[in-house]
Amino acid sequence: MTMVKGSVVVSPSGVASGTGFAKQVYDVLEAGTDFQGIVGTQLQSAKLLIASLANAAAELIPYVAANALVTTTDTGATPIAWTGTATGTVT
Amino acid sequence: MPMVEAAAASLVFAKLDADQDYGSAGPAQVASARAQLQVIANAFAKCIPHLVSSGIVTTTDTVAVSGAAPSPPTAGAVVGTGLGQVGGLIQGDAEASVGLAGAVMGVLVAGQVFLPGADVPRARISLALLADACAEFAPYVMANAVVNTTVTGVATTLGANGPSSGTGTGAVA
Repeated sequence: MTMVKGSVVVSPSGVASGTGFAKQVYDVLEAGTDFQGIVGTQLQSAKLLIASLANAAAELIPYVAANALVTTTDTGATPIAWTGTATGTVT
Repeated sequence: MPMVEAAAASLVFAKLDADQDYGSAGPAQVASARAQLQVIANAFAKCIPHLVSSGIVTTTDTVAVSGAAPSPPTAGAVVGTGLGQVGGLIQGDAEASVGLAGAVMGVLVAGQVFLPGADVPRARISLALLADACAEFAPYVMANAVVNTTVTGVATTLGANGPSSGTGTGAVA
């Protein structure tokens, strides 16, 4: 599996749906928000606001995928082909 | 090109700004709103230095050795590929100022992302929620990021099974 930026949309009735990291962020925001007493277009507006924040946070995913550089140090034994492990860093 | 926190912040800000309907707001109001969006973007971008400073890459590599011989001693080459993941990230907790959430929260609080007349303690709870949500970045990357590397290096000939080593470079997907 690779990272998925994803996105969240909100229907006119205030139902959110989405995918990827954006949806994961949205779910945390929605779970922590008290929508009690908010209905109709106000509910949709409130959810659109947090969807906007989640979708913006998801911009980090393609940025990492496009720019992260990994370097590792690998060790093994000759003369045969080997399978080893490596540790490294992300920059 | 290595990752740059400011560049990530610019991308997040652009997305936030594009989503806003400033309507009939005056220039001062728009400027104020955009300043707050910039703070949020800067806060979200804290994911980048956290990944760089705390991310630990582990890979499993399959490498072919060629050209190395024990007698006469002949150096060879290793070439291969690796596949792995990222670990070491700390999701943390915004209110406790721990980990990535704490770093994001710090930027939000320092930037005073409070509406005029806001109940600040109550607003802090909202900021903490925002920071904790952003910090989902940490477990998400560790669970989903795939690291691919290319390994190249030198094989030496200290005995029939002498050591070899290499340096890998790669990308995160």
